[in-house]
Amino acid sequence: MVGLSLGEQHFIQGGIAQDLRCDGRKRLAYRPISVETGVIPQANGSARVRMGATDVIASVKAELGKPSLLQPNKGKVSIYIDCSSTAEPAFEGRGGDELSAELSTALQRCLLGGKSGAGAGIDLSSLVVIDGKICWDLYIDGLVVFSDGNLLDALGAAIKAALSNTGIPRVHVAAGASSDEKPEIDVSDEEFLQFDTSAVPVIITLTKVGKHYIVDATSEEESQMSSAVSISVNRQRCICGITKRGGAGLDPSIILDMISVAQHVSEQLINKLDSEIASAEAGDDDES
Amino acid sequence: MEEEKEPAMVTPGEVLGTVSEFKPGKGTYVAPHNDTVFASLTGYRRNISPAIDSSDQRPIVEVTGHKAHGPVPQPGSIVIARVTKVMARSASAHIVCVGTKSVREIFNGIIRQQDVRATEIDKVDMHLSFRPGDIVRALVVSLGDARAYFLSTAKNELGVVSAESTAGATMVPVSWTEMQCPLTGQIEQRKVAKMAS
Amino acid sequence: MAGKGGANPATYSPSPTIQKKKAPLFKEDWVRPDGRGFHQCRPAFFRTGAVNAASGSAYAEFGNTKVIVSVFGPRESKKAMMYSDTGRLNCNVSFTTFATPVRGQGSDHKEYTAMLHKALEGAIILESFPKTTVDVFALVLESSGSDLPVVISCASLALADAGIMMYDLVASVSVSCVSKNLVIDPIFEEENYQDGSLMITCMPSRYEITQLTVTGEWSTPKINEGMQLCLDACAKLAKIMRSCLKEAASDSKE
Repeated sequence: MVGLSLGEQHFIQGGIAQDLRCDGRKRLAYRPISVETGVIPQANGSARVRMGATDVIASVKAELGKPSLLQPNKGKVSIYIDCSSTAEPAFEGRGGDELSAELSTALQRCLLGGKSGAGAGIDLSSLVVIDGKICWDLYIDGLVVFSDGNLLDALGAAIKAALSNTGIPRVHVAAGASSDEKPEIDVSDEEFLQFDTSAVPVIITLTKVGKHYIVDATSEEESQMSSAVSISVNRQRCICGITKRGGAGLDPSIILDMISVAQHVSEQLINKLDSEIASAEAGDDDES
Repeated sequence: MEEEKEPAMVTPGEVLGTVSEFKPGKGTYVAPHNDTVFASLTGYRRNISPAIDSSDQRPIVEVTGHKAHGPVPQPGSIVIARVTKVMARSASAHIVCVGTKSVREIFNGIIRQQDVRATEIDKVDMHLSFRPGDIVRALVVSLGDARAYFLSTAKNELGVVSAESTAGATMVPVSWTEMQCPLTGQIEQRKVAKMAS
Repeated sequence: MAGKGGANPATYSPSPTIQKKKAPLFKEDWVRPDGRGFHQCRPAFFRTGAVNAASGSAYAEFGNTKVIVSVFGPRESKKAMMYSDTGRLNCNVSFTTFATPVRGQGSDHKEYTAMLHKALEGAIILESFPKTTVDVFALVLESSGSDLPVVISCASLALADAGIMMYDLVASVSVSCVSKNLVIDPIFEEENYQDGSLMITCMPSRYEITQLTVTGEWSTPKINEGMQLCLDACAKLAKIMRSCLKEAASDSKE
């Protein structure tokens, strides 16, 4: 929790109204973003994203599993976020559970698309090894290392970066196995398949403070919000998911306005992220 | 003021008028962004004409709930409470009535030593002021802490209104510090409320 | 009553009933399984005062989705909670074990609970009951699609029945995107095949959105269309809710 005096509150609100925020940014400007990939060697893919002081890590682990009966030709993806008590004492014990659950559902909603799989950032059918028998289960875990606002956007970016870093081992299916038996498979140690992450959307949270809304709010600014709308947008400028936080009501026209702003901002963010990811990947390769 | 017709039934969120027309009363609220008066309860809408001498000549619009939620103690409300535990520095009580209404769910209150009476507050002996089971009339001084509301009996008309003697009879007040058992004649000490006769 | 003829022993013998064919996949020119138009909601039924023990309660029925909500309080906040100047809202959504086709656990639904809390929070005047808590318990008796919107609308009705001060009623409607069509108030089967869904909860007479969730891929015009559909439906729903409240209030007067 951020405790602010009345003066500080007015200062933040006034700054936002005048399009000059406490750290000198404009309303629609991001803090510097830095991306590191391959930070966790045990995972199939991982990334650490820092936005200002906000610091998050995402890891992707792939395990072989059985597809669900309802959707035999699709793999499964689950997203879980952990809010560590190292980030904030309030997260200790069960304190972070509520936030964890909120972030996890928001990310699932924003990245995994509808029930039929349309609009998903990850092509689930590419995870299938044998129809109805074997598929890859992707476990995406996020960790909040330090929280200074705008966690959802940072986590979204970290997951996107981690997925670009992910290599799924190639699986050879032994030929000639009859359909009833458990097929023999051979997981390769050398050959890895990369994900196509161009369809993974980015999440843009517009935080409404007073009459205006801002992107990439710090936790001080978030404490002044009346409501926030997180919109995930992909490269085609399509909306892939929306969640709203904060109880205050919003006029529908404002929401539509926010959507168009988010679409506009997304383009810059996607380009920025892609170049950061590319340079992180390049740096990664040099080291190894 | 024209004669009120059959009072109209309204539900939360229905528009009652604008701020320039009406003064918001009970069961209503004003939305700051467009100065509209809305209903916040289900009930009958009533327009009350303002007092002749008041400077504000807008009629007051209020919604009298057909069914209000149970009463909630607030600072300044007079409550009836049953004493549950008497300690050296304070007494705990269950608030059973707020104003004239009985509560649906019990609220906890606490009477601290300094809030028992108005004078000589440092010489108060809690055990000579209340006993468990006494019915007390008290004033809510503040919302208190997370556990209980802070109650005060530091007024003549506040204090024990009904108490049972050790013999089991309802005692009769004899002075502002004493009550007497009608069966045994035994006198017990209490912070007695002065009842309006 | 029981010995009708006395010939039939009261044992369980499953008779082979012909299972209806599974709903076909949604093709180009499909009709909704229950024969509704794409932009037509299921008939809604509301009743307040379903639970006597509660301060307020409501029962809602949208087609086969049946929900009961009771409101308790305002009452003293639980001991573990911190002191607060304003009132608190405590929500819980749970399912009965028989609510779903596959027998469920009947447990609490964390995600719905959080959503219900967020949807209602902005509509209640929390300052009107300082330091105390209002508990909203929702139970989904039968789940048949659009559960959360029904729970939210029903809960706001229960709050109004309890006499809790509110800025406005809260109405909620969802639309699903099924093979290029937008269908409002989807049923279970439709939700299973949906490409995307959009749920709006709003305060109809203030024309404000308190909660909005979107999943799946949506283009801008489609979002606009979906939101408009929902908002119109919410306004209609609110009318039904208001008339239900008024009916209940005038009944109790007589």
